[in-house]
Amino acid sequence: MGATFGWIQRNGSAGTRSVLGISGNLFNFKNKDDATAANYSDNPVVAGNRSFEVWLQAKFTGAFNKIDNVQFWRSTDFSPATGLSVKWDPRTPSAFTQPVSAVSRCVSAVPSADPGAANVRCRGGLASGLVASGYSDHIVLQLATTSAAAAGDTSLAAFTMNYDEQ
Amino acid sequence: MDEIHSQIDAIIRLRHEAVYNFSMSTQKMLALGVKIGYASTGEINVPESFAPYLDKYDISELEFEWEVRYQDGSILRQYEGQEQHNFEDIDQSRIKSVAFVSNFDYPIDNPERRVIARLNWETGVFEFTNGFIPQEDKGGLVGSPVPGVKKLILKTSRRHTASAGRVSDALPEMQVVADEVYYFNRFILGYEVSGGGDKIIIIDPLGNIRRYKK
Repeated sequence: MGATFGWIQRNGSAGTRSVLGISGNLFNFKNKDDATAANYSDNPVVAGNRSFEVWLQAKFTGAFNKIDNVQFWRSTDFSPATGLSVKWDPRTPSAFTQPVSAVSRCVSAVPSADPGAANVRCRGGLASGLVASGYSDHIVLQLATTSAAAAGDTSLAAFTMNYDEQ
Repeated sequence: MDEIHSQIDAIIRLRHEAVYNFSMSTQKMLALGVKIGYASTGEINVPESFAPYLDKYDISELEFEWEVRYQDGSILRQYEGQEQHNFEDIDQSRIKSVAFVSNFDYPIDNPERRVIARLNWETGVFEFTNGFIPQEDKGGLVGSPVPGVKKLILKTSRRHTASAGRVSDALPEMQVVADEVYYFNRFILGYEVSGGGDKIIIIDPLGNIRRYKK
């Protein structure tokens, strides 16, 4: 079936890779650096603070000639989203750095619509693509909150990955 | 006036609106060719028209698969049963034509019921046998070829949308949506020439064809 796509999350000082799958309870923004979605209620983000960064990658396996034109955006925001905004690092770094909860690299609003051109790097470049099984560069997300953020669970946000397969 | 009744009425309205929007959004996605899958089971809803070719679709998860005909009459297909070929397997020096073939029959009386579009590599123009293409796009694709040495463009644009975030266990109805995966593929075929210029089409999952602007 051509290339097989899946989401990966990296965390910890070693950047351990965890397979998230393709949908469902993929990840949460929380006050802890791990790749488990289930313990979010034990590690809430205090209103006004930031979550730990979430470092994601797209993993491609299987038979393909090239994967390129990788695009990422947020399809739907939290609703309500009062006091909540998802930031990202548009440089989509190749090198992994242990996630932090401080304001660091995620200072730009995550794209909220199809960017129309590649905005996720592979092998360090927007045009490089993958020519064998491997990973995209990193999509680094972080939830920024204000004191207006409501307590409790958020709703779902949806994120989209689009790519060309040859 | 008993305030509790107003509260209940408001909640009922909210519930009806939510169910209506859920149903309408499902219909609208299907009308665009989006296929809804379920992460927990791996199942993907496909139209009944796919039924005769379900095995093929299950292998590729693609609405269209490419097929290359060589000058000597041999055919290279993207999928030959469980065997798969990809772009690098195509010998561009021997191509006669390249087509996208659907995993379902078009409901028209056409001998090539599954071929939606074919690029005649020798003449450099397209032949459209099925599907729908606006006249303003068709004219530039079936007419004169773009002169120059052709480089084949043949790829699939694949979209995956996943929901992220935790749904409270106290809201079990939301788990259904959280489990959904939305698939949307488009199919790109054509050529560009070294001196500039191209003839490229993009096909959506329902067979609508447009000229593709890079």
